[in-house]
Amino acid sequence: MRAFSAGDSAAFGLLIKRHQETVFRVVRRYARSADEARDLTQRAFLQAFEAAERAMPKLAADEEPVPFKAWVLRIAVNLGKNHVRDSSRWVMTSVAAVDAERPSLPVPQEALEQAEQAALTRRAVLELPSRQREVFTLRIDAGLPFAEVASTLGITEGNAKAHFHHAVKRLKEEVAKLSTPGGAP
Amino acid sequence: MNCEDVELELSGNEPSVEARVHLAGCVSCQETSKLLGLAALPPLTQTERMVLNGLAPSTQQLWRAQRTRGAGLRRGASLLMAAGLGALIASALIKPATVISEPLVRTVMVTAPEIPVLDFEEANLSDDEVFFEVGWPSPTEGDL
Ligand SMILES: [Zn+2]
Repeated sequence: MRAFSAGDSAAFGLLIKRHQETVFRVVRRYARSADEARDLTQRAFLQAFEAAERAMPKLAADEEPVPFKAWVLRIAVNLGKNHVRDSSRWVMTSVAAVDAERPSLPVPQEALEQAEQAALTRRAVLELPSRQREVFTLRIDAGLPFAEVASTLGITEGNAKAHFHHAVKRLKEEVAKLSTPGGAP
Repeated sequence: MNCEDVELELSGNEPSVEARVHLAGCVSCQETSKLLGLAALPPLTQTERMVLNGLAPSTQQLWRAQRTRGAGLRRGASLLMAAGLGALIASALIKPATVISEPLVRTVMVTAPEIPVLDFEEANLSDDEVFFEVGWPSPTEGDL
């Protein structure tokens, strides 16, 4: 980040390379295609760079380390959420789009049912209350430890774990509702 | 180890032996495990891997373009400001040098109006009468 503040171009590349996969894994749940996921990832980085540039004089004065990863992930989560909200044509879940990229081979009935259930569950994840969804996706998609999920969202670790538990509970209920014949909307 | 602890462990990569032992004998945790498996996204596709490979250079390029555009806008704005300021200074400098034309003065012959001659002796007015007329007490009558 010090090199970044000095305008070092290589430092940008290094920061992107270090965090790109985590950010990409977070936004791909909200994107309909790999291209959309790339656009969201790029926007997250650009916004984080802008925020870092603005905060740099203050941070340099306080000699505090720049929480760049937390910033870019928080921005990514918000961008993903807004992207879904703004896409009125958003019908197919992103993951269905990801799955659509796979070669279509003949699949047994059981696998089809499992795919259907997966689609239902992933859709239910997107409909979780904000905080539960943020914690759930940062943990499951980005693979962050709970302590890091907490620091990214500015909450306590205990709080993050509680949100995760509520998310799982709610998902179980939703999926049970949706899988029941006549339960789907 | 209770179900909530196991749930937290199942959300990570490798559950501990203790968690796996609990899982083997707990229906609720087996449901949790299944749900987490369904909710998780599939591994990155080939296309996504390719997109990731090109992400750093393309994002750097965007950042540079954005900064250049921003710098261009800032430079444009400062040029406009400088131009405005220049115009202001120029107008201030030019103003005193402007030749102020003298106002046009015309001499006009005016004949003095005739003043009527008043015969004060014939009017026979005293100061008291004047005061009485306007309703003020006479200076000779009582206190003012
Ligand atoms: Zn259990």
